[in-house]
Amino acid sequence: MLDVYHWEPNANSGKPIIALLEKGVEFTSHYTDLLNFDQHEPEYLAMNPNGTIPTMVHDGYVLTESSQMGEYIDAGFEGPPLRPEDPWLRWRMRYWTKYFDNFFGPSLSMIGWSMFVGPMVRQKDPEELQAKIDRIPLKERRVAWETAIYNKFTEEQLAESSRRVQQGIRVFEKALEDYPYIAGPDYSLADINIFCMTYSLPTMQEEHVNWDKTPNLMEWLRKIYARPAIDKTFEYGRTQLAERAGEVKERVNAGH
Amino acid sequence: MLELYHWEPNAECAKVMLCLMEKGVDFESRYVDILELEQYSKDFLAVNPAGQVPVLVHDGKVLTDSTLITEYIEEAFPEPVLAPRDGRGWYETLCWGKYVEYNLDTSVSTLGWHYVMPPLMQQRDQKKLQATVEQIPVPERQSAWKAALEYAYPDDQLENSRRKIGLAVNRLEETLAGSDWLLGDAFSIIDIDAFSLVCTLPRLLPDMVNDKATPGITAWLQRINDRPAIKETLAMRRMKEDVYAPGPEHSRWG
Repeated sequence: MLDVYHWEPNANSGKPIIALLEKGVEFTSHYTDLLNFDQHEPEYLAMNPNGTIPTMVHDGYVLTESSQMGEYIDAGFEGPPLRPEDPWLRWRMRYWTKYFDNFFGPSLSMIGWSMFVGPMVRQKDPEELQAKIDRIPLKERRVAWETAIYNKFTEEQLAESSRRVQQGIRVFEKALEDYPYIAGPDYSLADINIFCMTYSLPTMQEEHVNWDKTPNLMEWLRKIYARPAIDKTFEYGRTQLAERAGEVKERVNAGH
Repeated sequence: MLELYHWEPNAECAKVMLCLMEKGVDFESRYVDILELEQYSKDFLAVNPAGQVPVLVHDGKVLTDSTLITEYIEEAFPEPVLAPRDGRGWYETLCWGKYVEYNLDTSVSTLGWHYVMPPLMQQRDQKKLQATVEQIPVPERQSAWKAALEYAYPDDQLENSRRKIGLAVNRLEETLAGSDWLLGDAFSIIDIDAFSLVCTLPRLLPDMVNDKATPGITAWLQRINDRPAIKETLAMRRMKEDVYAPGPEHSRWG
């Protein structure tokens, strides 16, 4: 039995969904509403005490690290391989995934939260909201949510995030000169993990990510968007985020 | 051919050195003196533009990031086996690697730099160090070194480091209460990862890590210290005392 608890097929939640669909593995989807703090409900915490999304449960075994889940999925299920055989290309797969997880992702996410998620959550009742924040188990996550919800980002923090996103875009554009996919000649978990963080760049960072300035990145996005598993993945979305992906896909194809 | 650019056998450099020695893989050692900021010399930046050690160069391929290098070594040199091969065991290897890095790498280096390094660093040429720092081409590393050379980390950063180490020490102690090793019943790259950072804690945080408070960790450290490959690696130390370098930043945003 395979269960995936996920929010929108966006950022971390998208990673296991895409990997499973690419392998053709059947799973039961449990939509977990991040903006309603479903991940901090007692039933969820009983399964994943850190209260992070996604969680994958395979025959009773609980997995909570989204970037590493893909390796488990690839090792344990039939279907097309999602990791290169060569150890050097595997290092590249993990290196780029980590670069985006540690350097690029948090900065892009800070911008996304200050622009979209914070304002959406602030519409809730303040007392109810505070109670929901107080029960977040991980200190880092509690501070992060508070900062985002009450828009406590400083201008300096947002400027630094913006600098890192711009730098990440340049580094990524250059890295795609080496191979058609991130790890090497073939599509891999690195493409899946990084697509989840970058799929909306042509609209979110319109000025910096376009066919003139970042043709490699746009071509890479075009190839990934063209995969049937990606279309299926966005069907798991329930908010505007998934609709936005459709618009980006059109834009990426139109400019080609 | 393998070349390893490294500093003292501690922290991130120790992870890779210990791993190669346990595998019995020959490598050319290239010592980089971090406290003289040699990692920002022209020659070294040509090898790794990020200006960080360790760097493994394997037949011309350049590998960085100590945790990812140990995973690479495990896959490129499969014998002797130092990690489980099944999907679940490998997933747990990756998760432990991330956990050790997240909780210990930055935290141990922060406290080490704060408590141990100021008197040692005062013996060095401050003007030359400051001038080198001005040349560091990576903005986030430049600000890390600037902050470090002021020798005054803010209290919340020290407290956060102590808290994270405390969490990791508790998890290690719990795990080692029922097992000789951190991952399953065999010595693995996860023992190497964690040992590289925990081995200094009995001296750095003696109230937290000692025979009485953490008997499991104490016995585990001894088991690892007794391994011939570990002894040989630690004998490569050039400095007598425990030394630390400013580590990567704590995460800025969840």
